[in-house]
Amino acid sequence: MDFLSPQRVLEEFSATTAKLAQGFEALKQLDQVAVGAAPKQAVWQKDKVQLLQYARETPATAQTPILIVYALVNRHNMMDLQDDRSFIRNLQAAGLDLYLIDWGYPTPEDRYFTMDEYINGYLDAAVDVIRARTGQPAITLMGICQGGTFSVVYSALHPHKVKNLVTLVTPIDFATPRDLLSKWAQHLDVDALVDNQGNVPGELLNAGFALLKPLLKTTKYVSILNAVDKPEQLLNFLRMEHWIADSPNQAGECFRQFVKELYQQNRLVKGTLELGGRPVRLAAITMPLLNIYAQEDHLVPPEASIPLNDLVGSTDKSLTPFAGGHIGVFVGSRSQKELAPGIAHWLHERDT
Amino acid sequence: MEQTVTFFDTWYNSTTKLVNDWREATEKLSGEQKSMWEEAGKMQQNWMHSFQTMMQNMQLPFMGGSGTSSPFAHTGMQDAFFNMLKSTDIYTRLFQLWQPVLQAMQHNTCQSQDFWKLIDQQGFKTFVDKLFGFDAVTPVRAFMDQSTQMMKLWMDSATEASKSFGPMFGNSMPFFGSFAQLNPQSLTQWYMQMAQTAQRSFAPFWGSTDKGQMPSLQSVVEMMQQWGNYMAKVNQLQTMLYKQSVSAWEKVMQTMADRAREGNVPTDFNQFYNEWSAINEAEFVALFNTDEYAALQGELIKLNSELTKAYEKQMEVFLQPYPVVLRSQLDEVYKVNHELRGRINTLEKLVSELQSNQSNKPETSAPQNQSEIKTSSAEENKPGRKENK
Repeated sequence: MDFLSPQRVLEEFSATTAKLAQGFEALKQLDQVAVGAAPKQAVWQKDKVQLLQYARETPATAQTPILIVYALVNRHNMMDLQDDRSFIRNLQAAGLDLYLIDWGYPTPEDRYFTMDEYINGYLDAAVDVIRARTGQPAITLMGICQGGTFSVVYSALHPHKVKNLVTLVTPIDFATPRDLLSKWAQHLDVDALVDNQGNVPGELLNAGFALLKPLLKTTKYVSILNAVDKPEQLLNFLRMEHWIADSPNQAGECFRQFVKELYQQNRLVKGTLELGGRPVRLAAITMPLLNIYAQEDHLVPPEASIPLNDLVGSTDKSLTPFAGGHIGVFVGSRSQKELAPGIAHWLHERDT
Repeated sequence: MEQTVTFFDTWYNSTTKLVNDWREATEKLSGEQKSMWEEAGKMQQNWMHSFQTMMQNMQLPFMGGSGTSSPFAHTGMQDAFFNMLKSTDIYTRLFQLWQPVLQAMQHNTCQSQDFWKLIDQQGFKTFVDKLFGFDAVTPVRAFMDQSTQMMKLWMDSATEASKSFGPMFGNSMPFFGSFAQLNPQSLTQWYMQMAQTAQRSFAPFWGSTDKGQMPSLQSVVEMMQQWGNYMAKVNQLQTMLYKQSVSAWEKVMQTMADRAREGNVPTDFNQFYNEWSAINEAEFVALFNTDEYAALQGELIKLNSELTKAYEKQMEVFLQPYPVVLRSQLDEVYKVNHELRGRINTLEKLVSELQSNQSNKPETSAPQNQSEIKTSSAEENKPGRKENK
């Protein structure tokens, strides 16, 4: 263990401190990093929720418009981190007409918003806007993570408005053994949390996510010290960090319902979930389904996503594993080449 | 502004000087192993000291915003730098803690039963605290400071009443620093005792207080009790993490010993760190997947939210006489607003459906409540967007 010699110890300390000072200088020169820069326009707004349409230079090659539904947790910018790491841009390049529902940042006045209002209210309204703008009677819903769960629920309640359903890293079965979030949720007094705090702070959720890989933060910040003199690498790192830190608070009532009825009672797979007074039956989902899960997902384990295909009524359904983790699926280098083109191909085949 | 920039500049200059000094020292001292270790040790300490000062200063309230006091153009960069500092601190502390063990292993003088004799136990505890953020300045800590200040104020005016409480605080504080707190039972008792003593101490004081103010004093003591309960649970969690760390570190030790026998030892500290990190992460994730941990975490979140609520209530009692809108009043307004918005939505849907039926069109009309927007950059100026963090 040569690295234990005093000489090497001094060298190591000296080098680390020098990198830290370099890091200080490099960060001092930088302004806010830009994420989610793909050109887009807000075409509809209600309260804090906006419907965005991504700009295209050429006409879309698929007729059916796509509405991307991201989670309420964290921001959709993860799908468009930078020009060369952008799930959104790759979907666009594959000829799709993209819309996205931006949930915004709930403030204390939004604490009483329920899951029903998010799904049967905002999401349904956004779908109607797209149908009216494009003249298409039904659209493609593409849900990601919690947004995937919302899309599944929506498709079960409004199947005539959904032509295709695409889900990515979507939790459906909330009671699988490797699901740490599910384990924690079983012991969470969500009533006390919401009654006492109103909205649930984004920081609290982020702290929980960090605990899923408790050493990751230290490791990545120690590693990035080796790249403080490589501006591109440093910027890539900072964009991801910016996205992680940008964690909206969660509307209290919706959070309560999501934790209680899905995580704690697993009502979606049991068929006992009701929304707006109507039962949510997964068998009512009969449109083509493409369900993609991440093989190394530590937030939504594959077992939590896979059961969807057995529960829906669709006959045209695909289940696709993708190498990588929950986020890696969207930002990894393989994803740039394969994920979006694969989805676009699947959609083009059904665009009749 | 000038003061803060000077502070950063000072840190930067002194750090650069430190690096140069080390380099010089390395050249001067080559060959003299013993004195070199002493020098290296001193420099590590210097480095740690400057590091700690920097960390503490970065947590000061005036460093929290993106205003003129920070040398960073954006708070995101300040956060990134703080994380770099914190992570390097952890990384370096790990090296310090393992250095004697690795050296002993190198010289074949390390027996597994001696492992913990070679580890600085206080350093180990501090390390685990830092890893899980128990050292951070949290809102609870701020609350605790405020409460302590309030208590002190009252104690000053109620000398007799404070007699039993004051010494208790003073005499018992060293207890925090010792390893005795590894026993959560004793600490729970200690907290409860402290809260009860506080109650007894202030009882005569309440007796001489106007009726109107009594509930707030009572609430403060209740809060202190809640705080005691919360901190006792925090301590239980810390204990759980210390114990799991002990187990993980022993596994690392065993792995290193096995590898040393095979002649396959790490060639640099980063390699060792990666090995240590993989073993520790697996151990912690296993702990987090237990019902015992999940239940404790759930309880902590609940207690924390109750404490926050109690604090808010107390603040409202203080603010009651002033012409300000209280949060509980706003909450009522939000509730009514939400109900009204719901009714409007229902009516809008009804109108939309009626219009749709009347014109006998397929149901593809846009909702009545939509508002067309012509902004080119939807991301900017989003309603409700958080301030710069």
